Amino acid sequence: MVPVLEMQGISKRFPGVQALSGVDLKLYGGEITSLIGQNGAGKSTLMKILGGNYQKDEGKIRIHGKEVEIAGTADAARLGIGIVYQELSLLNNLTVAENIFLGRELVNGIRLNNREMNEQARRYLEEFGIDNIEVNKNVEIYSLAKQQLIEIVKVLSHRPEILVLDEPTAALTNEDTKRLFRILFRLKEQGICIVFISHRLGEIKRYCDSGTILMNGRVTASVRMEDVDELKIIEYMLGGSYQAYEKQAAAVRHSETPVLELRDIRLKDRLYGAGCKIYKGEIAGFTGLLGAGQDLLWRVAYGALPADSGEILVNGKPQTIKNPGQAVRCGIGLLTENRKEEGLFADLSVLDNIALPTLGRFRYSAVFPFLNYRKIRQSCRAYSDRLAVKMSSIHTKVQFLSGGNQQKAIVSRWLLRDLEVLIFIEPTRGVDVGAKADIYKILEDLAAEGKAIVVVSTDTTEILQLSDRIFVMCGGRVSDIIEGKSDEETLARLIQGSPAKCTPAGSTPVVSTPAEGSPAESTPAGEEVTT
Amino acid sequence: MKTHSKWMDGLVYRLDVITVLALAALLAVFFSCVNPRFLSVHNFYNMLQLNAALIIVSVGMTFVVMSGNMDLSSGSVIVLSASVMGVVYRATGNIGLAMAACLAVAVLIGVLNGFLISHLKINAVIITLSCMVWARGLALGITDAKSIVVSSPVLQAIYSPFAFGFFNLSLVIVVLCLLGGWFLMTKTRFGRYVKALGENEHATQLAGIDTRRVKWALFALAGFLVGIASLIDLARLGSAVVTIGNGMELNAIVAVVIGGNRLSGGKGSFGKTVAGLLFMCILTNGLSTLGVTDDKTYLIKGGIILGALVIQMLSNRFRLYYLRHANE
Repeated sequence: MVPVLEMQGISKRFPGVQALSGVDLKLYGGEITSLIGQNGAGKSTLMKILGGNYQKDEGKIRIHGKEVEIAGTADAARLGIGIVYQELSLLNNLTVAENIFLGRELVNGIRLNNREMNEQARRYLEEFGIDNIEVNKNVEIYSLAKQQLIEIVKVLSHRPEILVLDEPTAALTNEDTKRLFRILFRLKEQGICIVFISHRLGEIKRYCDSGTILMNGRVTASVRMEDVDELKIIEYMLGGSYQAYEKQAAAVRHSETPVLELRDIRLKDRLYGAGCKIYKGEIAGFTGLLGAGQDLLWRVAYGALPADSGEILVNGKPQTIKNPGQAVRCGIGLLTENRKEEGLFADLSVLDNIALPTLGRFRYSAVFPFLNYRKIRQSCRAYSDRLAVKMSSIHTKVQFLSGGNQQKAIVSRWLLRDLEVLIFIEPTRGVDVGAKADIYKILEDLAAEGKAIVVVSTDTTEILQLSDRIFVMCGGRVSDIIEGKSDEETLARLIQGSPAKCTPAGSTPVVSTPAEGSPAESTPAGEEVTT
Repeated sequence: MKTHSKWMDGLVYRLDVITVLALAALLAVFFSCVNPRFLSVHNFYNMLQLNAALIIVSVGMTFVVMSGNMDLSSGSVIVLSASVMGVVYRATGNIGLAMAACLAVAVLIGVLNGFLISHLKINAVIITLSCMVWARGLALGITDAKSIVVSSPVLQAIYSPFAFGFFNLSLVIVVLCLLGGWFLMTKTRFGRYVKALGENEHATQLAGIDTRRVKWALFALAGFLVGIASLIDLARLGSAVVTIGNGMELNAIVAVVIGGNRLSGGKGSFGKTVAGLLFMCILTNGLSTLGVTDDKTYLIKGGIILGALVIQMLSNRFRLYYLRHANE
């Protein structure tokens, strides 16, 4: 069988880095092939060469056995290559139909034929079984998951023969991922060849037919999915030096007073009396469907969102937290999944990024209030060494670090502040498997030191691996608390929730373990002993 | 929020335009109290005529702002192309040639700016700011900073009424520019690409659109409109005066922004520009009927603009808050 696409001996050099060296890739029609590798392994570079964004230095590309040159994005489109990029390329100020037809609008003379475009866009959406999207509404009103689907429809409307999806599921929930793959399976049946890039090995194993694994710009293996397991794939990705993460020890409860307690937090249409108690030395995992409120609850606790009502107690004392500054003074720090927008200063050095919120402590003295850079360097180095941040020097700009190392740099920042409660929202989003284990280890170490760690994640595997206690949120409240071991199925069932527990305007949330009722809706029964 | 009527939603959705129109109405009421003749058909038509150049420049500015750029050179280009027109007319006596030269200069500068901005990827503010300085310098140089009288029946025809005793060619040109701009913005690919460019240049490129060509065309279009504005103003004044077009770019930007077009591009409409223009025209015209001295005029005008922008911003904040909650 002749492959639909064959890339042979592809090499690409950037100043200072050999991004790809002699990479071979074969894609067959009617197959989903995964491109697997750590960040920086060369997956995206390879796909950008295919899409005409970069030019290869060496190598051949054949489509149906015929050699082709891809000099630009237009060439790629002409050859039937459609790419869904990692960053969405939808324009928020245009409608769904306008986005789908951007760059190849239908016209009557010089007049745009909006009616026809809307009609065709509607048909595309129907064809791929997507409802609840109106073609004449601006895309900005739709959720990220829906935007992702719109983006895919936009690419598919070009009728590509080769479809590349670069981390399409990073922002999707399990449910949306399933929906996406239903569409991909349909396309597969039509004989389209699909390249799927993801960090989630579970998905890859479950849905893909074959995989090509890259490490440092070279292919380490090309496998059929039925022949390998996840561990084998990870070995190929990392060159055999990987040990699967396993939680070392359960939490030791240091004190009977919760270091942080949230009581009856309410936020209009979002949170309906959510509450919890967090103790020193534990990792508390918060999960739920997208929009169940788990991230909002913690943004409220951090003072980044104003709540309508509710109480926050730190070490048993009520505190007003109206902005992040107050939260930090109370010993609470938060790290978001939006590292680029909400966490990092990409253009500043690692040093500056770590020291920024703590600069006040590094003055020589009150009378000589200038910064003691030697002291700053020492402290920052101490923390970045401890977390093993990989960087050429502490003066490297943070934008040149990989996702995992950026995450570590932000953790160092809060360690320097010596906070008691650290909240991590989606701590490993966009982080590859190697760095993931590092981050898990760090979280565990921090908890062992007596810090209270809150992990908010929609990745249930992560939550199950990490948490001492799992708080499931549903309809803006904590619906269940799981203490001790659990498994994927139980958790998935709890996350989906029962209508009785999840109706937003409802009353007391029901707590599953143990089964005694609780008087106050914000005090889950599992914690009765401590009150 | 679901209890609110569709009518209410629509009202809030258009709150930015409504706010400007309300402010304009407020000003109109105030000025007509001071001077009863303010609210007359004659004055309204007078207002349109005096501000014909501003309206035309604002049409081009709407495109520039919508694309996420800025053109600070309009005023200086007006004085330069008017001066070139004057010089050519004085040298040849051929009014057709002089008008062509006027338009050509404005378009050429637009093309040049567009080239520097799109192909050399230099920020539009920097390019047009330098152009604002050198174009004015050049204008002063070729005219020796003196006015050149251009009296020709062709120019006079622009302001001589041919219907209803006041309807003249300048109004026709203004209306044509507005309609043409509106059509280009809403009904053509060019307009859509300008909008896309203002939202996200990279994504626009990824869609296979040659953004450099769009930018280039955009500044050429704006230049052409500036050329027409220059012609119209010269026809009104009867001579190429060195103060012609003074501050035009800032007035145009204020008109565009006060109407509710987003300064960083991507969001807006021609309706908003028209509303903003109405406000600016009433303000300028009304102040001139008050008969106060120049220094006071500037002070009052600036103060009112500042106040209007603050009100506009507050109403927009409310609008976004409302819409966000109404969507849930």
